[in-house]
Amino acid sequence: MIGKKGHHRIAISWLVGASLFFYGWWNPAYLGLILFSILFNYSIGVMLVKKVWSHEKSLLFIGISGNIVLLGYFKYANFFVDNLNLAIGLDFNLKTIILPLAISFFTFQQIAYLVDAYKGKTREYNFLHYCLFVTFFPQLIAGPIVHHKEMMPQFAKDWVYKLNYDHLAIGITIFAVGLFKKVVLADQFALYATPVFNGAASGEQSMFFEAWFGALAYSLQLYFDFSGYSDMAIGLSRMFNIRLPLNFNSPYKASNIIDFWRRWHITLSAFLREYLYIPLGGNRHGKFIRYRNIMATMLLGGLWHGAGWNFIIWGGLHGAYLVLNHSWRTLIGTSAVPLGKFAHIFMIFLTFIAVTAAWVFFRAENMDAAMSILSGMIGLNGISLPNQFYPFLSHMVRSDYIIFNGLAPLIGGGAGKVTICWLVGGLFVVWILPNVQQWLTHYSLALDSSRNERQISWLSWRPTKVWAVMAGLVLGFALLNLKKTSQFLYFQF
Amino acid sequence: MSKRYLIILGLFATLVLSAAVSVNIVYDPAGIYRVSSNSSKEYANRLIQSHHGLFFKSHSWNDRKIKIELAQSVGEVDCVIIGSSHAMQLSSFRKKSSLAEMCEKIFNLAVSGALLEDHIALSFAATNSNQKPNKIIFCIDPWVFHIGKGLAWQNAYPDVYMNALKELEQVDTLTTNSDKFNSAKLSNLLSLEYTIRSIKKAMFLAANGKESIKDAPSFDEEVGLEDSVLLPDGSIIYSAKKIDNSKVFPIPLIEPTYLTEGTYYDLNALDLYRRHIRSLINKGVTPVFLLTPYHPNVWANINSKNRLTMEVVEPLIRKLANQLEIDVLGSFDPKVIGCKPNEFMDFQHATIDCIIRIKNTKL
Repeated sequence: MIGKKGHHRIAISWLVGASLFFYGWWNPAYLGLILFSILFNYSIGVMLVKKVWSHEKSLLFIGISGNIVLLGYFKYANFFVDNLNLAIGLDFNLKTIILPLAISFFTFQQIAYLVDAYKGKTREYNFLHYCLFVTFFPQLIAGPIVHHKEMMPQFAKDWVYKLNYDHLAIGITIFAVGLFKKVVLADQFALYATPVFNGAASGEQSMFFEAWFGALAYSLQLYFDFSGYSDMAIGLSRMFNIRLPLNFNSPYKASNIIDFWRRWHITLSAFLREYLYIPLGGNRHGKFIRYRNIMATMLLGGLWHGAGWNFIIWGGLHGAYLVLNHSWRTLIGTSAVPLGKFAHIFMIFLTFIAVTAAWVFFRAENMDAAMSILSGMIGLNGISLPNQFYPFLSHMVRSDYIIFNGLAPLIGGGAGKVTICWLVGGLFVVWILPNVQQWLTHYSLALDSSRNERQISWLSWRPTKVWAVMAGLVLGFALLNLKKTSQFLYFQF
Repeated sequence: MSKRYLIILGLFATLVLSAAVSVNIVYDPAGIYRVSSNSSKEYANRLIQSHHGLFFKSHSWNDRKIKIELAQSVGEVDCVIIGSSHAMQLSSFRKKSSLAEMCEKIFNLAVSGALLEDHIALSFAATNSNQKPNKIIFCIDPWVFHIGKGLAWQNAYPDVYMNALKELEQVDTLTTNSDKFNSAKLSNLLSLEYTIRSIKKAMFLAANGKESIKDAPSFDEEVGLEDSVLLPDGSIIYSAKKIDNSKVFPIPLIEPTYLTEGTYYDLNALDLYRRHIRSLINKGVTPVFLLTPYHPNVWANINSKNRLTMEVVEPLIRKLANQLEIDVLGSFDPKVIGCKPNEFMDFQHATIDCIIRIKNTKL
């Protein structure tokens, strides 16, 4: 309404204020931190653009260091001190520091801004626009990590501040789908994943089926959680006539791990590639340096997700996967025969299993818990079968390796069939159904909409009555589920 | 085009929500929004006079409304049981009678998930009737020492609770959470879980017609009937399906946290409970504390919040009992009572075979 009357500055101020209110709702104490971070980075950025100091490199160094110190203190200080105490037998106590919401996201976003400013890629430096670039509420909390050059031109356009029914229709539709993924699907899979991981954390040995159920359920929980959040961010943003970059593109359809990282958390991968992997030397200094750079990038990528050894191991595992994948490509060269259909399906399956195994470290409370689940997945902890099998199989089984305590004792009696149905349904959605970008293929959903793999014309969304009814039902059903909703997983990063 | 799309989308989203609200109000399985067409008073009267008890469907009847009616017509009994579903099976009517050494005749006023407010209101009602019971056996659950932990009692007997607080001279220091209750009532209208219960009730009514108060026939208590049965003394015998399931399905190694989220206990609640027990003693009633066991898996789970709460609360209960010079029967720990792992229906509900052992475990 404000924008319609041409009061753009007031409209932006309102949006910035609302975004800060949204941020402060969590913990008002950290509003000062984000405001300080905005002022600090904006000042450095303007100085870099206006070349007020001849030592631009030093200025950039100060800017990046400031951000890293801030992130390091709030996110990694406790982890560092705990490990130092352990390594050299100290008993140094640091007060527990509460992690400010979204600090990893707004810090990385502003580091990218400083580097872009240093390289002369940023042109506009309106302070209000900059505040909106950092605080814009649909992407503030869990990404996507946006670039200055992607957002500022959009904020400068007049029509962005006027109500557009087309964009509103698209936005609310994507938002409804995202909300459904989060509250109906992700939270359902959490019911199956949580008992297994909690059980492992408390010393229970996960048996074969329940270890697989837990790991697969967590893979799907994280998928629908992050996918749902990404859809909601894009949808909300679109309601304000703003397009965000794509952050999620059916990652479990990836046929190798390189492809996976082009589909999962796309903007983080791009950030790590542009601002870490390439500055480290990228692939310019031979194979060994390239693999070292990949490992370093992925280890730091793991650490970005959380201050814990499990995240570092998860990053290291993905680094190793990537090194293997690149080595394999180098080995077979470009003359390799294209994959047949079955080989392609096998590769998708193999990639998914590798990713699922790595998620075990990502989710587990500690190393022992992760190892317990992985041991269970390879059958080292025995197998539990439904009680009904006891009369038929008990005489054949002479050891404790097979017991008859239900398919998944940690999840609970009778949960086996229901869990399997949900897992199969979830895998059908992630492997077979088209994603939101494909569904809305005619409406260039995100900033870079060239990623769409295939279009399914009969399924393509249009603002028709039928789709309106479907979207309305999905939204209504998702709203009904809100009462039992848990927090987004990516909020903790 | 898009404007029309948005209108239709909004209409259908509203339609889904309105349908849920309507079905919740119309069928209202917990009796939150409407007074049940079948009177709880009539149910209570019929129950006392019945030979083998009445069928009891939890989605048709509000157990609190029935138990408050029963509390007001306690009559001549030795022992009144007050507590949660953990104590619902305690009975002098069934063949495997409980607490036989202590109570010749039991009247069971236990309600599901009983909170401190339920304990106070039900015992106030039972001791303000014409004839007081000799003893009130309070089944103390790990979550009891909190105020405002839940609001189900608000729907059944807010006035009784208020009067009890007046008697305890606590009315100025405690709020009744009525605002909280009203907002919970509103948000419950948009709860999918409640809507599913409403739909189940609607389907049941469509298949079986309007519910009536049905007498249970003579039956084998070990086997049960197609639905749960409330016996004439207010105790419950679970449905055959539930009894069977407890024999077939294993108890999970990791149980959900049930009402033990947050702090272990609240000092204000503990103080209120102490006043409440003293007031009963002054009325000439003998209070007794009773603890029912949790499954051994809960005790084996070192991270269980239920277990951690029990470890803190059981000594507290014993200390309180010492101060008030009252007896404590049973324990949260099944080993103390001698209950086996296969004597549980789920992680927190012991079977009658376990419960009847409590009589010998006075500590």
